[in-house]
Amino acid sequence: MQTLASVDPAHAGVLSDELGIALYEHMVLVRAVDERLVALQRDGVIASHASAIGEEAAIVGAAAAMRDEDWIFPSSREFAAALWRGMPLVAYAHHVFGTARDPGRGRNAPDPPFWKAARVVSVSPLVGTQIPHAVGVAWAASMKKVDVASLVYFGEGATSSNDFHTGLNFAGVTKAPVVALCRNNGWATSTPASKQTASAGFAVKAVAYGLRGVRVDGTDVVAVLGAVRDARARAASGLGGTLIEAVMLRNETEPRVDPVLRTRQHLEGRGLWDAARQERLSREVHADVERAIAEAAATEKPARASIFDDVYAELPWHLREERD
Amino acid sequence: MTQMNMVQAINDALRHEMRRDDRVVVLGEDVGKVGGVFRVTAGLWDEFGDDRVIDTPLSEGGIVGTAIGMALYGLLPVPEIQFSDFIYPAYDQIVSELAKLRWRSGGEYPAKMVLRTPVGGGIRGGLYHSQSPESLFIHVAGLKVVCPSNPHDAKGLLLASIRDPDPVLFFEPKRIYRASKGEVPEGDYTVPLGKAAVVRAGTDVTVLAWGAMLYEAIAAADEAKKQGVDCEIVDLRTLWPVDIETIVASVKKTGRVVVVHEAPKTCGFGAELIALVNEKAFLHLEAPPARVCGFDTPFPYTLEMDYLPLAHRILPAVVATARY
Amino acid sequence: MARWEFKLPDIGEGVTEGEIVAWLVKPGDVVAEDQPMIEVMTDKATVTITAPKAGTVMETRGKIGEIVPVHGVLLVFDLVGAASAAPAAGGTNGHAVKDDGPAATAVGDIKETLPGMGGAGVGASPGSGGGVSVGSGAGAVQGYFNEKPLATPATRKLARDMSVDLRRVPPSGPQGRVTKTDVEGFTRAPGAAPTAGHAPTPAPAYAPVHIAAGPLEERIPFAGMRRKISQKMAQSTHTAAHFTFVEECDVTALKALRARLKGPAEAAGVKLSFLPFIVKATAAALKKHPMLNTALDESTSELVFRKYFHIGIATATEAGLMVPVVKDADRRSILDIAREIERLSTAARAGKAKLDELQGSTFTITSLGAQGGLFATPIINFPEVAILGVHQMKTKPVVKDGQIVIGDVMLLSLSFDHRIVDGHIGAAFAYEIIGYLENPDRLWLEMA
Repeated sequence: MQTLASVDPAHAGVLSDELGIALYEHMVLVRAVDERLVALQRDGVIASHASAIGEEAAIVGAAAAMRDEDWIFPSSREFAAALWRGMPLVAYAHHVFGTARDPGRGRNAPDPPFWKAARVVSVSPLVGTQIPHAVGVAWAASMKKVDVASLVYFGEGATSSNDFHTGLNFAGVTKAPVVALCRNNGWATSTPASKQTASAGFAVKAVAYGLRGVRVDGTDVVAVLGAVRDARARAASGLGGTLIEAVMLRNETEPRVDPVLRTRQHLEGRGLWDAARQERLSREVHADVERAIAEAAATEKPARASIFDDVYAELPWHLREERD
Repeated sequence: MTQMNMVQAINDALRHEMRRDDRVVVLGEDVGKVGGVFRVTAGLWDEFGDDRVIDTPLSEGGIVGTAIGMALYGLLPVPEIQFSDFIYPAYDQIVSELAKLRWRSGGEYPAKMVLRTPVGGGIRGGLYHSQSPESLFIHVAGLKVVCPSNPHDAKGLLLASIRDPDPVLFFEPKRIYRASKGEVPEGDYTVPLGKAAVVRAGTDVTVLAWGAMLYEAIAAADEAKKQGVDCEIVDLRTLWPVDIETIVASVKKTGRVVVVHEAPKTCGFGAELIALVNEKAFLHLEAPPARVCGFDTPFPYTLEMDYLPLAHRILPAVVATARY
Repeated sequence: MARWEFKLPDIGEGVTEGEIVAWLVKPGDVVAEDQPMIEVMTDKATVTITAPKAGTVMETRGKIGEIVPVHGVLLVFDLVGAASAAPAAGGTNGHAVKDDGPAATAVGDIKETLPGMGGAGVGASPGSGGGVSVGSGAGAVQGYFNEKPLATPATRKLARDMSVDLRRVPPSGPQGRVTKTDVEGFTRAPGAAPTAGHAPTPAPAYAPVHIAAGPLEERIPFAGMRRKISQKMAQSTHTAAHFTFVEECDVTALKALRARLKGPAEAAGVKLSFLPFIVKATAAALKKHPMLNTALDESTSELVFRKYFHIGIATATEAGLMVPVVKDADRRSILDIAREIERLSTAARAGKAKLDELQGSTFTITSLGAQGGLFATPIINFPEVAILGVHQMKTKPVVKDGQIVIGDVMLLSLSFDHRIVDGHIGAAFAYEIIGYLENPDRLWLEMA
C-alpha cells in the first residue's frame, strides 16, 4: 500500500526567475536576522529567540506557495513567513525587543510574531495548540464557500501532542482546506525524531486521519514550493487537507544541507546570480537589520496601564481597581 | 409571553439568534440530529442544516480548538460541552488560547464564542456528571462566566452573552432544566451581563446564590422567616465579572452574608465573594461571612443529597449568622 | 392585610418610658416609610419617631401627655403587602418551542418538577420577585449618633461584652467609625447606660396633692418639658444639701478687656459677651479645686473626680430650661467658647440640639443676663455638685484705696452640695473665679 503521496508534476519544479530571486534574497535576509538575534540572545540583550537556521527553505517556500488571502499559523520559529508576507522588519524587531510598538504590546516573550495585515495569526508557545485553530479557520471558510486555506507549521515533536491528533482528526472529517507543514529537523529540543514516534516518519500519520501525507526534502525550496502548491490546490477543490513532512535531516549521520547555499547554487546554475549581487545584497541586508534593531533597542517599554487593556473588550470594574 | 422551561428558553434563544445573525454556529457532540442529550438544541439542525449545526467528533479539545479558529475567521461559534465534567480536555484551549488571544494579540485577534455546558448535581449522575467548575474559569483572566437560574434569565442572558464581545462560559444548571418554568417573552430581549438580581428584599441577612441552589436558598429563607429572620436573597446571574455594587449595597444594609454554592468549599467562588465583602464592607459586618457549599470531596452518587448544600443545611447557617 | 404593631423602642440611656408629646398621624392615614409619626419625650430630649415601614395607620394608642413604657404599643399598622402575582396563564404559541420529552442522555435524571419550585418561581426582572419589601428595623430614633454604626468586628464584640449600644457612642475613628477607645470611654462618661438596670425616676416622697375642681379655672396638662423640669428640680433639692455662697466681683478690668477685644472678635465673626471669660475662669478654677468637678456615684458609694471639664450653660428656651454643654472648656480659646455657646444656644432654642449636646456637663453656669437680679440661690444641675449663678453688672460707687470711685460690680452666687463640698472649699473656689475675673491677665497663665 502506498501511504505517501507524490507531488503533482504540474506543480513540481516550477520556479520563475523572479520568484526564485525573491525567495533567495528573502532567505538571505532572514538568515542574517536569525544570526544577529542568536548573537543578541547569547549576549543577554534579548531574552529569547527561536532560530530557524537551516530551515529557511521549508518555511519560506511554504509561505510563498500560499495565496495572499490564506491564513498562516506559525508555531515558534517561522518569523520568516511573516516577513515574507509583508511584516516590516522593524515591526519584527519591536516584537523581539518587546517595545511599546510591538503589536503584541510586549505581552508575550518573543517568537513567533503575528501580523494581522498578512493574516499571520497570534499563537502561543504551547506545542500544537494552533493546529485546531488552523483547521477551524479553514473549516469556517469552506462552510461559507470562500476560497481560503490555512497553512499551519509545527515541528515533528508536535505530532505527539493532543492537539495534533485532535486537529488533524477534525481536518479529515470536515475536509477543511488545511496544509499542515511538519518541519522535521530531527530534534525536538533534546529528543531525536527516532524517539518521538514509532511510525515510519511523520507524513505516514496522515493516513490515520484520512488525509494525504507527503514527504519532501525540506532544504529544497523548489520541492517545498511545489508540494505546498499542490496541497493547496487539492484543498481548494474540496479534496481535504495534506500533511507535508519537510525533512531537513535524513538521518543523524549525514551532514546538514544549508538551504540558503543550496538555493544560491540553484540560481547560479540558472545564471540568475553572481558574487557581485551577493555582495550588494549582503551589504543591504546587514544595513537593514542593524537599522531595525537599533530603532527597536531605543524604543521605550509599553506603559504600565497597558497590562490591563485587552483582557476584555472593555475594562471591567475589578481591573479598573487594580490599575488605579 | 410564553410559559417555558429552561431547556425551551435556551432553545428559543439559540434559534432566535441563529435567525438574526448568520455568523452563529452551534457545534458539539450529538447537538445536531439528536438535538442534544438534554434536547437543548432540538430542531435547530432541521432548520439550519449541517453548516450551522454541527455534530463533531468526540473531542472536547477539538470542539473548542476548531471553534477558536472559526471565531478568528469571523464566525460566532456557540459550542456545547455535553457535561461540564468533560470540559477538562478543552481546558488548555480555553485557558491558554481562548482567554488570552485578545490580550496577547494587542486586540488584533479576539476570539469570541459562547461555550454552553450543563453544570451541577442532584440528578443521580455521580462524580462525572454533576460538577460545578466555575471557579476554575473565574480565576482565569479574559473569560466571563454566567449562570442563569430561571428560563427568563436563561434566554436573556444567552442572547446577551452571544452579543458580548468577550468569550463567555454559559453554565446551565441541569437539575432545574425542566423544573424551572416561567414566562419568557417571545422575540428579542436581553438580560445584561454583570448585573445581579435581588429576588427577595430583606433586612437581616444577605444570601448570595445562583443556579439551582437559588431555590434552596429561597426555601431556607421561607423557613428562616418563621424564626424571625428576614433574608435578602441575591441571584448573582453573572458570576464574573460579578455585580459587586449590588452585593456590597446588600451587605451594607443587612451587615450579614451567607454564600451558597454546590461547588466544593475550598477555593470555591464563595471564598472570593467573601474576600470582596471584607474589602468593601468590613465595617458594616455584624457577623463573620459564612459559606454553605459542597464538601471538599468528589461528588457522590448515592449520597448526593447529603453532599448538596440544600435548604436544611442553609437554614442553620442563615439563622446563626442572623443571631451572631 | 398584614397587621403590625409598632412599639416604643428602647433607646437605652436608662430610659424606661416616654411621654407622648404630639401625634403627627391619625387612624386612616397612609404613611410612607420614614414618615414622622409621633413625638415622644424622654429624659433629655424630645424625639421624633418615623415609620419603619409603609402602611396604613389603623390605631393610635395613647393620648398627649400619657406616659408610655418602652416596648409599649404606640400604633397598629396595616402594612403594604405584595404577594407574588399569580403567573399569567400562557398558552403555547405557534413558535417551534416544543418540549420533546425526556432527555436522550443515558446518565442523569432530570425531573419535570421539583418541590419548592412552583410556576411563579423566580421572577424575571429584579424586584419583581415575591416577598414584602421591608424597610429597616425599628423606627429611626434621633439621639443616636448613627443608626448603623461602623465598627470593626473586634470593637463590636467589645461593645457587646460591655453592654454598650454602639449606636450611642460618639465615633472618633477613621471613616467615621467607633473605635475601641470610644467604646471604653463611653462607659465612663456620664449619661452612659448603666450596666445594671435603669436609674429610677424619683417618685415624690409624699402623696400627690389634689386641687379640687372649681369654677373660674382653666386646666392644662402639666406635661412635657415642664413636668420633666419639675422632676429634676425636685430631685436636686431633695437630695443635695444646697448651700449658696455669694460674693462681689469687681469687673472694671474685665469690662475694659472686653471693650478692647470686641473689635478683633467681630473681625473673627464672633459677638463677644462676658460669658466666655466666665466659662474660662471657671474651668481654670475647677482645675485648682477638683472637688467642685465631682459627682457622687450612689450605687457604688464612690465620689468620681472628673478629669475633663464640660461646662453646661443653662439656657432659657420656649420649651423650657435646657442646658447645652461646652465640652472641654479648658482646651478651648475664648473665641471658640463664644462660638460654641452661640451655636449651642441657637440649636437649643430651635429645638435642634442633639442629645449628646445636652448632656455630659460636669459643672453648670446659669447667667440671667440683664434681668439677673442682685443675687440668687441657684439650684444645682444634679448630679453635679455645684452651680455658678452670674448676675447683673452694676455701675456703682466702690471704695478703692480709701477713695469712693465709680466701679463696675457683678455678684456671683455659687450653690454647692454641702454633702460633698465643705464651706471653705466652696468659698476658695469662688474666690479663685473672682480672682481671674478681677485680674483677667492671670488667664494668660492658664492658657493651655
